[in-house]
Amino acid sequence: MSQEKGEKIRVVGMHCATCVNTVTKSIDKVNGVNGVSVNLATGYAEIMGNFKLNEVVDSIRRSGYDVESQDIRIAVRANPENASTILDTVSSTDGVISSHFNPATGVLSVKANPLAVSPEQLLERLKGYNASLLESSEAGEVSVMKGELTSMIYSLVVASIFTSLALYFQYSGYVLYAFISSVPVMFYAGRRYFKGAYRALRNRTADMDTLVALSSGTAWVYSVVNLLNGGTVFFDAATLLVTFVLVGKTLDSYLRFRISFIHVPRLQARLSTGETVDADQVNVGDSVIVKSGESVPVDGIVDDGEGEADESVLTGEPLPVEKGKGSPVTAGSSLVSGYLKVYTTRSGSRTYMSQLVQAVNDASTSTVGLKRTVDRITSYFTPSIIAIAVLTFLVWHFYVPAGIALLFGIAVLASACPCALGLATPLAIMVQVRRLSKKGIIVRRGDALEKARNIRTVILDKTGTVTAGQLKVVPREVIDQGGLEMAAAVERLSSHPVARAISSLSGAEMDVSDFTEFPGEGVMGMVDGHSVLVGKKGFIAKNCDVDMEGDIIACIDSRPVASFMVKDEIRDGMKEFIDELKRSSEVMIATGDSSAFADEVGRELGIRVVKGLTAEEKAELVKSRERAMFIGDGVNDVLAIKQAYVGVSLSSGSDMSKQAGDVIVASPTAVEILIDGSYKLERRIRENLVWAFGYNAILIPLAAGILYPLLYLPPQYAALAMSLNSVSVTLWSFLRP
Amino acid sequence: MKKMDPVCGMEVDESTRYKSLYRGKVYFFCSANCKAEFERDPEGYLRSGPRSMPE
Repeated sequence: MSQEKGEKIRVVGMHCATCVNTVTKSIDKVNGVNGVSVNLATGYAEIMGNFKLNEVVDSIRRSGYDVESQDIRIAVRANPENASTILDTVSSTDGVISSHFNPATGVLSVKANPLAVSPEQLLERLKGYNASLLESSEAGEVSVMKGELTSMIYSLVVASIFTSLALYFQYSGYVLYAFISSVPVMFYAGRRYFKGAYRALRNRTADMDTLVALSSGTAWVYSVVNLLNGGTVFFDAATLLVTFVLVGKTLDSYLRFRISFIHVPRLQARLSTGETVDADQVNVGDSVIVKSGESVPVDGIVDDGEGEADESVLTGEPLPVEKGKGSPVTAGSSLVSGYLKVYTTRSGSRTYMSQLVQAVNDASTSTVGLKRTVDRITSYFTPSIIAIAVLTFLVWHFYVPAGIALLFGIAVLASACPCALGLATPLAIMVQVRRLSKKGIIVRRGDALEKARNIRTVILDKTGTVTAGQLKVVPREVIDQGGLEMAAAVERLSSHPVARAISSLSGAEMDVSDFTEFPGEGVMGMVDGHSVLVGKKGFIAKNCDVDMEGDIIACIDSRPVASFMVKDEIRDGMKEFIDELKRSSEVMIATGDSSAFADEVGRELGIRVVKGLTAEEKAELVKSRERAMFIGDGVNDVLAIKQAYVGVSLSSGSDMSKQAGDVIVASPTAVEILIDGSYKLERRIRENLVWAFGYNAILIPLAAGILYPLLYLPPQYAALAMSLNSVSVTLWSFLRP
Repeated sequence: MKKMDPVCGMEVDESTRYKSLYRGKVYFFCSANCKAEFERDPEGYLRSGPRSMPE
């Protein structure tokens, strides 16, 4: 039985006693929780029991609150196939909420409860992995990879020089000098492999380092022994092996470094004072001038001027958007024509663009389900290779001299590459997340991308999601045109959006007296001695005999003259999109609106509408469905988005809903591309795995000498071919359309 | 101009946002509560006059 623990966390967003109840309940229902006390004043929750912290945090988040957490990024030097061991170590530490390790960049991201664990404690747990803390997130990752690459190149240069010397001396018969030249190759350039092998041994595993160390080490030790006995030496094989592995790994590091990050372009901002500064030096409130053809350097509001901005970087929408006084502009978009003076609201790393880039970089590093299977396979991989190598040696031992038999065994060790297997999944995710971001689909959580293809139900919010969110008033029945004009004249005095829409139906100028507005209900006024009343049907019905259908009714002298429907236009392409979705999943609309228009939208699109729902009811509906995707944009959609199997929010939506979404899209129809991307991801992962496995499956028998003497792979070439396996997986991932 | 709230009897200013239109006549209220109460049973309040502040 595992022991009980107590943990203190800080809950964010509680402001009333009900919140305390909700949070308490949400914690209490988590498996293994035996007791909980939540303090409203301090925000602290103390939890007792034997529970998983991430389940507690999930449950609190689902109930609409958040938990204070700290993002810790640690650079870890480990082979891709060790990813799961590292994650196990970290996630079993108290206070760790979630952790991701990206073998492609060597960066471990941990979300932790700052009250329970410090970054230093995590480093302590990872002792033996050369772990070091990263300062700021992105800059840190870049510098880790750069450092790694520089050290690789340095080792490679040393290895190349001394390997050439060793080869020259060995082939000229100066075996002692060959031995001396081989020492820097083995113990300086190749030290990372020996250190890695030692570390793996201490953790009772074996990885790529073990294989390289074993193969080159065996060849070298065998040669040293023979040097003393006067037998055949293989300093050439030992040194070339290390050098060739380094060639492949350096190339691999370089490729991954080049493609691992999306960078926010460095922009310059021209202040209205005439000064030009770096975009991140701009302060909130500063005025920035943007001229035609330039990039907008900050997020802000247009203060003066007009123009057309290309926002495709953010939305994927190729058509430029018109900007005038009061329009919001976003850093990273570019001004196609015109001239803008922008009032800065966000700059530097706080801009929407920077946050998206950070989100995409984070999502690229997430791991998905299939990877766990791969990790299990890789843990058997290395021991099996060692067994095959030993077997190869034993078999050949009967047919050829022991030295040659040993070379076959070494070649087997050198030819096998578990790291390509480890890279197959993260690389595929990285590529898909990147590609989708270019189409304006921001995947904030990598697992959402994997899950998107499994959805069974799609639930859409109505206003602003299925519809464009712009109110439109359409006359339904007009008995008296003159009455309609009078109604329009009275509505002109109100600022309500529906009133404005009605007033735009007629241009006739009329004098209105005795104007009275009933907020949220309607208006009343006198025109040419007639009493004019316009408003919601329920309001009008108390004052006039309404015998018309419609959302808004106009009455002149207690006689209905016109009725209107309030509509919101269904987005372009919505029908086709929904028809396509219906082929594989159940589709429905969940809306807070209870008007007849909601039903009409459902009829037009041929789907079920659940109307008049509160935010909680929407979330309940999502919960009641199996593997439901929810697409929404409003504050009232946040709970449903969080509750969903895959939560999608619109980039035009509220900031809160965007924070909640697993994926952010510019238009709901982009979900089709997301689902397609999800299928592609699965295919790519499989392809990468087949490639990596296939490569090994061909190389290992060749190295074992199955075609000897027809075709024979000396250890050094086996090592070269092996290290090119991860290069090829990387290239294949990025070059494939 | 001051008007009387037909529900609670209080004097209210015409500029209040709590008002209702019933049978072509505008009634003014001191609060959203009074307005809602009036709209539930306008005839009752107009017949028997103001009662007291609704709960």
